[in-house]
Amino acid sequence: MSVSPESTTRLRIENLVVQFPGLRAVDDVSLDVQPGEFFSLLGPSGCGKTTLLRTIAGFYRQDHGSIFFNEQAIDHIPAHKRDTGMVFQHYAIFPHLSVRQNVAYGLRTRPGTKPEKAERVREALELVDLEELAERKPRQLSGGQQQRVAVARAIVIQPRVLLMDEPLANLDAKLRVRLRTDLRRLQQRLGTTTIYVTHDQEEALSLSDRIAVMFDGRVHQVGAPEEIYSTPTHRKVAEFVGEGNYLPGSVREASSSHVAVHVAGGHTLRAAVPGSGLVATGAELVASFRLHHAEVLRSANGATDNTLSGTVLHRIYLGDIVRYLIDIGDGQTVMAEHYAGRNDVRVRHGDTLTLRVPQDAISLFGTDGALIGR
Amino acid sequence: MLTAWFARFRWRHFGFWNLITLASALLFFMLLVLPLIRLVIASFSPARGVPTTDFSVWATYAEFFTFRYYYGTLLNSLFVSSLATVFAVLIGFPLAYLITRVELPGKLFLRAAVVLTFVSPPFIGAYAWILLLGRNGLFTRTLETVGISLPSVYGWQGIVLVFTLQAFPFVFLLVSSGLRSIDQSLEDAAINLGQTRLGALRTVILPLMIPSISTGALLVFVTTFSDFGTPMIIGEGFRVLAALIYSEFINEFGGNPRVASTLSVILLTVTVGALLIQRAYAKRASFGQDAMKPLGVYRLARGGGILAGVFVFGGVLLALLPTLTIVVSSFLEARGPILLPRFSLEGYRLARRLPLALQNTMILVTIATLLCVFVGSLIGYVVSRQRNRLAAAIDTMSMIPFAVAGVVLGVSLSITFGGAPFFLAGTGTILVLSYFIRRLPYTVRSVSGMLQQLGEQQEEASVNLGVPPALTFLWVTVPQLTPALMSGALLTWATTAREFNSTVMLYVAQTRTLPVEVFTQVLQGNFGAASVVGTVLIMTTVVPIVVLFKVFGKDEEFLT
Repeated sequence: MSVSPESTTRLRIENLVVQFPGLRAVDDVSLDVQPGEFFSLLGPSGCGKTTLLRTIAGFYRQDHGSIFFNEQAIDHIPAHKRDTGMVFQHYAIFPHLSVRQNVAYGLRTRPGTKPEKAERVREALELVDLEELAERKPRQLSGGQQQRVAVARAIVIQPRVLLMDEPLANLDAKLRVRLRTDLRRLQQRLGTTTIYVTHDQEEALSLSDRIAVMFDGRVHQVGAPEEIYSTPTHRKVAEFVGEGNYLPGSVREASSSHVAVHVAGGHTLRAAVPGSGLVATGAELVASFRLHHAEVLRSANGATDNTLSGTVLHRIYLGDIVRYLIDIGDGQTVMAEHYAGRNDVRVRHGDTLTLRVPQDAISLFGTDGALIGR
Repeated sequence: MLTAWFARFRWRHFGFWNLITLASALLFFMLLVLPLIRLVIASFSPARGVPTTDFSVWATYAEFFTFRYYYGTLLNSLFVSSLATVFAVLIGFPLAYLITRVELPGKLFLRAAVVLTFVSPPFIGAYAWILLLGRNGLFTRTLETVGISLPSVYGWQGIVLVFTLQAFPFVFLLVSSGLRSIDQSLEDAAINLGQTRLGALRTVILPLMIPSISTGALLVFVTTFSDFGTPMIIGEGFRVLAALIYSEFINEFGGNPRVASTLSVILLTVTVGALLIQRAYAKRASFGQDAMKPLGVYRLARGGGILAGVFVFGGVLLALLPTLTIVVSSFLEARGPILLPRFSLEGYRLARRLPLALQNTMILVTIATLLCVFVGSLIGYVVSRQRNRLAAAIDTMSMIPFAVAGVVLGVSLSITFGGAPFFLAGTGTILVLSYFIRRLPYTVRSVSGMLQQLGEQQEEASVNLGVPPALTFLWVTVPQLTPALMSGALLTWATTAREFNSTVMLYVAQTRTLPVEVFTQVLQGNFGAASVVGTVLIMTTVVPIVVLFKVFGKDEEFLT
């Protein structure tokens, strides 16, 4: 399908507020989505991501702020004139229409001759590989096929912006991963600016050009997947995207290149964060690192700096990796993991393990959750 | 504040549906709220010829509670309706339970027979029982020849008998559908914990059925309390409130129907009070559950099975007997109130007013049905999809007709639209209006229930694809509602064709309908002619029901 000028829309959102009775569902959100970008809204359920999407579609009216398509404010355009193709979570396929009629539905009120429209429908069906099933009724389709009908129906109108509300959430795990690739390829081919709502971090990381992570109606961080994962700017973002250990402690020493933190069990962790001037000695903070960034050692072997030692409380075997829950003293536990080798010596409950954490793998968060340094 | 609300309202719910919402609110106000207000005002206004200076607004109410002639009717009405309600529950619940749970032959027949009783015209039972048990009744004379004399069927006993048999299907239908929402695992759990099956019925199923039973009981009470056809035919001097309204209204015709209005307000107070009490009661007892695996059917021990069979078939046949009597007697030779045991089609040949009544019924009912379906689906949409105060108010207003008796509606509409500036008295229009507003809530309920089930996403998808709201309704919503609308239309047709209580307050000779014609013939003692018209009326209500069962594969559950 040809890429029309409408399909490269820049979407700008300015200070958007959507208020429900007793709840500020979207709280002062500003975003700038580039033409052709695949942009995800990621966050836990109830964070306002779907509300934001539905406000863009025009199903809710914001209480404050504006939405722009290419510098044109669309705030007063009703939903049916916004030209946003939406893929609904439960697909919302019209049950009384065939697959072809479903896809053709959006063209009914649009200009064009019958043959032109038929051709566009055919192209859309081809794009999602559904030509064979065109005359079927929706109830004769599997979940994955229905999802593709929903996508074809949304793209056939050549929307200015494609809106997707957890379109893969109702599929089984294997199919979800496969359709993920299909979706991404299709979007790149069409070049349509896309807003994708999901609570699945893996989905967001693998699909998106950029991600906005939302909590309680607010956007906490916007960035490329790598950025979101490796340098979360807030503890909430870090906790939601990927797994890590969070150790409360106090600053022992802060220099222009390092911060040393006292954590439980008399351990000290040194983070490659220029701390002088940012944190004072004795200040409370949280030191954190990703599970896979720490190296698991059978014995300390004399290594004392940036190590955490303790006894194994649980061993969790996950096939490709093994995880250990380790008590490092003072009631503090950390989780550690390593790839399961074929001939690993079995670590048992009560054994002692040491974790070595590289200095540059440690992030420091203030007690308010904000990232320190960087 | 108002402007802010209006701005929000206008934007959020697209222009088209704003218009419909406003129109719906206006419609309910004009056809329901305004007439009821006019009714109350009329009850406080002096009658023509009474100087306003020596008139107290409470005069008629004071009279009502002073003279036994008046307040006695209220007590009588409460007495027969309460008795009928108790008996209807005592028959309706066991019948529904046994037909649902116990292995019995001919279940389809049993269910169909109950539905037939349900849709057959009201008071038909009254004169059918006179034909059977009256002074010259078939059974009376047969039993006299063997020396047994039966107690009189006239008076309150007869009223209670007819009311009970006419109204127990309410309880039956509601309990039948209520039983479907109880999961078999609940009974299993009770039995597993040491209850017998009967114990489980008493300790688990019966308490969960309270909302269904009480709703059924309410409907029995309200319909019997507002009915005056039956008491006038079989009551013989036992006077009830609704009948008093009718005769006062006819007497006051032309003047200010002050007494009829006052009596109507009193009747309305009782029925609305009953509704409110039942709502409050059922709310506490409601657990809103769903059955994954509905209650199963079991076989009773031999003796129990026979007993259950006798009870079920006995009860259903007793209820069906009046309808059969009417149909059979319509083919008999008649001399006034005496029917002779000779086959004859004379009755049909001689029924002079039958064609007009049939034609009126057909035309008026069809128009009212179409209006109901069309307007009802729009209002149903507003009620289930619009989230503003006006829509909520419409939702509340759409409940009112459930509690407004036909006779009260008739008086109210007559006061409001009969004279200036509408001058609708004696027209077909006022009958259509009364049928329409009375039946509208059922369509609204069924449409809004269906829409809730369907969800909103398909409509949003359509709007999102660029189709404006009005077209979206036509292209996406209506096709999905069609089966529900079709069955709703047939049901509306069947129940409106038998409408009597408000028709009789509003008709004139030219607009007489089938039920009115039956009533007139009965009062004039022409039982043969009444049977002929009654049979035609039964046919007009049975045909749509048969279509529903056969074509739509419905069972009796949709009637609730």
